[in-house]
Amino acid sequence: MAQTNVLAGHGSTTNSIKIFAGNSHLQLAKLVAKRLGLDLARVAVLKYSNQETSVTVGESVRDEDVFIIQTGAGEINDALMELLIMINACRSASARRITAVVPSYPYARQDRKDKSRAPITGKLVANMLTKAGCDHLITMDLHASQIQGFFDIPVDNLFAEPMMCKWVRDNVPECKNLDCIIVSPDAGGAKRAAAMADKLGVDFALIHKERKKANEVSKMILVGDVRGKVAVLVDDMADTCGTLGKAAEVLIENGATKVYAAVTHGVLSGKATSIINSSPLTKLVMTNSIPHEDKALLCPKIETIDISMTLAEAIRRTHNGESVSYLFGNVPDGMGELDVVG
Amino acid sequence: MRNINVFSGSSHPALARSICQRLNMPLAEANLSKFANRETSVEIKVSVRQCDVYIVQSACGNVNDMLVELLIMIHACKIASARRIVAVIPCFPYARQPETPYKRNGMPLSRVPIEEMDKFATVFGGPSASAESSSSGGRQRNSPFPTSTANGVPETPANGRLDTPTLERLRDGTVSPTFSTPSTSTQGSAADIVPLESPAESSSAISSSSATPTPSSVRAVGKALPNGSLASNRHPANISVPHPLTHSLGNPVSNAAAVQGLMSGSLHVPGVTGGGYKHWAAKSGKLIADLLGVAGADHIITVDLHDPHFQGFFGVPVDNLSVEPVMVRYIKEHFPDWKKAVIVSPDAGGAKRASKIADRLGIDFALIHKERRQFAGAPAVVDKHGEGSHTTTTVPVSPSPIASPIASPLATPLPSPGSASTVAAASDMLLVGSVAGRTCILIDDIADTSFTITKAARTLVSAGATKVCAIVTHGIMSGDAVQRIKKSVVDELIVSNTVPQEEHRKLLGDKLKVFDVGAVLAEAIRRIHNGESISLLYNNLWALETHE
Repeated sequence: MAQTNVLAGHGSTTNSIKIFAGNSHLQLAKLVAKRLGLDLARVAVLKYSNQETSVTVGESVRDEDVFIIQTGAGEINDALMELLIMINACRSASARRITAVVPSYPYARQDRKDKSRAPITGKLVANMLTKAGCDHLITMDLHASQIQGFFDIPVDNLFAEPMMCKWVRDNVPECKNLDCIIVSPDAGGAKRAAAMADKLGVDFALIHKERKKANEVSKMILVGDVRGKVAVLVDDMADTCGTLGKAAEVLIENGATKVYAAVTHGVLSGKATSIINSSPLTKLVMTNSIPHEDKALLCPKIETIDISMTLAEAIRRTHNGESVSYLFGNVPDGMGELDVVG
Repeated sequence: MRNINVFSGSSHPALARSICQRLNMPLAEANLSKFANRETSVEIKVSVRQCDVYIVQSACGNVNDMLVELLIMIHACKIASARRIVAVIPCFPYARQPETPYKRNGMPLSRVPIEEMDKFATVFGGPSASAESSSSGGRQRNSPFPTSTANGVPETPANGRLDTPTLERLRDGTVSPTFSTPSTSTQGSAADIVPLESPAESSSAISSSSATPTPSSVRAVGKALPNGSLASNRHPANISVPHPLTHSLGNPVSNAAAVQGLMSGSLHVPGVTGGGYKHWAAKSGKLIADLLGVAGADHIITVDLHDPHFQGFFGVPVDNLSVEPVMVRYIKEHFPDWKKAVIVSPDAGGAKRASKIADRLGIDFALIHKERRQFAGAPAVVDKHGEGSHTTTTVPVSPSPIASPIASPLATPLPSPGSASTVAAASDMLLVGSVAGRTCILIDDIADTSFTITKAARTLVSAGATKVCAIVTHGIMSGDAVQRIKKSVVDELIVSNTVPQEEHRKLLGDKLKVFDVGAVLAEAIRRIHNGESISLLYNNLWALETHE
């Protein structure tokens, strides 16, 4: 990986991959580097005493292919500033190309002006990344895939769907005899859930919030039949998990035998873990786009899907100039499960 | 004034209110908070269509939060069709390379708690036991600075000697920092950082002294190093690494201190650093200017920008207001013997600023210069601006924890006591000019860690000054700076309110005086909105009144 014989895009000499990691998800970065057979590049990302971020670069990136792995998690503003400063530092150090690998894109939910004077922070983040000097963005399951249009630079929006489908096939035995049903916890995610249902060849259902008057609690209505089936709730993000918890209850009320939840980005803020623990969910499966070991300790229902192989493959293919489309439909075969403890 | 809205960010609402009071208009309403997942939430509650919007936000507290909030507010107003957006940033973020203060073990002070340090990306990619590092030669396996992960990259040419006088002194114990907790207020109950040792190795050593976990921020390096063995003589990496907690002051410090110092750019080893690449810290000034521009700011107002060349980084007009007239007026009003006082600049970089004030007042001027020459047995002082480009060898200057029982007889922080460096440090501040028997007024733009001010005050007092006061524009005073000021020989610290000072006032009481820059900012906003000239604000004959 460090030395490639394939002539890269621009420049006539081969260059190598340098992987920088910010502080938001060092563990994932280490896994990715391990999959690629590389060491993480030397950088110290700390804070000065006045809380300003300090980035000290420890190795040369001149004319190299730099990948900066930073996800929008924890203190998101700090993570964002670290990413921007690292990109800018590599740019001023004459890197050939800088790719930001951001599995969970920050501020993705502010993607449109749905009320007066609401900021489209997703667009602002896109502008900032581009201005800082980013040449390419690799992300996963953007809240709205239209966010790719906010950028003038190429964006690779990878999918967690193949990995989710694989997990369902491996862990939900009812899937084989079609006693399984994919459910979307809200109307907005219908497309995502339907695509997965098609892939697995099972049925699809949807939960929809009935908007009543202002002071009344909105009811959740199930559209579809789940009686006697194992339901799998599918969503892109699990934040406060209020919706997820209520949806699980609705499904049990309507006759589902078991309820799983498969979510790409597990933010799990606030009381999410206790809501999950007290809900009828059997398991909550999330990718490790956002670090959640501490939450997993509190909530035994959590299971993690490792996306490091997909990211590593995307990085490798980007560097070598190969097609990434394989990753949109397949789970890359890896070295097997790596020790997830970083 | 019509069609104008002044918003306040969450960093310094008091200043924004003061500005609005002088402009005789209400503060425009906006809801600023954070979502459950820590993303910033901004809701602008009033219409800004075709209005001039002024957003007041100062760089204090968590600077990254403040900056992102400001950018989102600017962006929100921009897409809400504001006519013009002016960012009023009294204390500008990332305006300089801050002086990196150090903990006892040489590690830069950071807010990261001990337990988290091992998760940090501060590590060198680390010489894994794989064949990669060995291909560059056997030496690389033991080097704390293996050459790059891509093999076949030639090493940067270097001097033969790896052991510099600095590293030797660290090893011999001439300079020996002790270890303190990040809070720096209690004395060494836990190791700060334990570099160069894997937890397994160090845990046995810890058991004798403390039960706290020892994270290794340089863990990967630690794994590669045999602990205690001296495979090759002169290589710093093979020095045996004593556990920090098991050695008291005066013992050889781990060369991890040097390693960390190198990583942070403070310790510069001339020639080779075991592999050739000279670490450098990124300077983000241009990036911040670009971010403000891209968010949609049309104009920037700031106060006493640390580096005036910053104005050139922006593509939009920047008004860099000066509090100099206010300072001059303050001195005249509050120092009865100002005619006989001496204006002193605490470092060579601020000489211009201080001398201008001295000229305005017509009084004497003096200057304190940090000696950077390397002389035997004494480390030089860290360059205030942390520029690693200097070829002098610097050593991390460790601050003494305030409550330390081993504190030096001097109250201000100096390299750890018990070494010849204590005496050397005080004497390596050269005073240019005479202050004997006079009141000294130190002038500086930023007081962050307050090392500069307190060290300068010490120098002045030992040169015979009767009273030492400091006037500083931006009193950021982060970390334990306030305690440092309290214990120092500074009689009075006068700061402006570009940064909120209530917390500092609680700790410093009467020692701290605050003058208001709200008047200057309000007047600037009024004139900019009306399209009038603001050059009067720079006129030394005319200074707005200050409120104590």
